[in-house]
Amino acid sequence: MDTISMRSNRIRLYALTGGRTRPRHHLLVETLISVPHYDPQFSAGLLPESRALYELARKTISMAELSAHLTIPLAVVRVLISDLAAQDMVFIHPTGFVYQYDQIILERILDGLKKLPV
Amino acid sequence: MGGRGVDGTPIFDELRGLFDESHGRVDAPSRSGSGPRTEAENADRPPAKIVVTGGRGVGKTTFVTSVSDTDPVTVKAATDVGRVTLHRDLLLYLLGTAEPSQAAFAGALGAVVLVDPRRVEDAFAMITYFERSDVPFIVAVNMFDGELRHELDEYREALALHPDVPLTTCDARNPESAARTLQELVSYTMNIGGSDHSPPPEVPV
Ligand SMILES: Nc1nc2c(ncn2[C@@H]2O[C@H](COP(=O)(O)OP(=O)(O)O)[C@@H](O)[C@H]2O)c(=O)[nH]1
Ligand SMILES: [Mg+2]
Repeated sequence: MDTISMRSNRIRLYALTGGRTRPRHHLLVETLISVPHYDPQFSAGLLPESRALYELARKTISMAELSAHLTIPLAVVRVLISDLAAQDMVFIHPTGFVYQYDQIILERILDGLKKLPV
Repeated sequence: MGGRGVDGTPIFDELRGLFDESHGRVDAPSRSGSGPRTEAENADRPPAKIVVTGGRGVGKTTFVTSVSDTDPVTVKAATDVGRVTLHRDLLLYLLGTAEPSQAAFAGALGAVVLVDPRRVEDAFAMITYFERSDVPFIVAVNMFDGELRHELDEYREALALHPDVPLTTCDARNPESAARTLQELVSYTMNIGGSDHSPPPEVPV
């Protein structure tokens, strides 16, 4: 896997995000990201960090794993993924926001936990 | 196969609508044209999340590691995220962290507050935090040396824990014990979801 040089990390990441800290999307650690239609030309035109994110997301992956694998802070991953999503190049999967109130899904979660460890 | 998860059960399309509208947070790219759904769009259910928390050194990382499919990833200092495959179409993410964070806990179906039996006071802040939040929580004493020195009721008293909040013991190193603790939390979340439970008691400031 590509590791990104962490030279002047902070300045570089600041430049990348244009100083933005608030992404347009609410991206949680468990939010899954994927690439609906991979476009190698699009990928080649991206800055290294965004390209690395785009390439990793060819296989559905969580925000936490993206951040950890690329050692890019979560806040920066949020901004970069937001940008890719705004261009329709990545798909931001829904998160289980209402599971707390959903008896059917809770039952299924409980059922899965009872079968652990597998 | 549209509208069905990989195991053949229906995907909750109505629920997805709910995420999109009520939170305005999930901006999926608009579906263009009438082409077949891609693999990503035909996605599995949204993943669930449970928070595993407590003071430093209480066993959060140990707990998350013992029950996760693979080693957890560290997203920042003292914050680990582990993944548990519950069903082919349903993932559970475990967020282990010592820091209360509304953003990080958003959407969690509950929290396990771990307690070190030698340092119960380390859990006070986190218990207070969850008493004031909407996230259901249970408290689990991590039994480092295998047995409790006091009755569980004494821990409840020491923690000033509301009688309705489940209190249990666990061995964070043991996957079965960790899984059972998560089951207790999910059962509790189910129970309080059904009734109109009263808000937690006011904690004097
Ligand atoms: N003997 C014993 N050691 C444990 C147990 N749980 C955690 N530990 C140890 O306690 C230390 C802190 O655990 P860790 O999971 O890193 O705590 P965290 O700071 O809450 O993530 C580590 O050295 C663990 O190996 C337990 O149940 N029994
Ligand atoms: Mg830890």
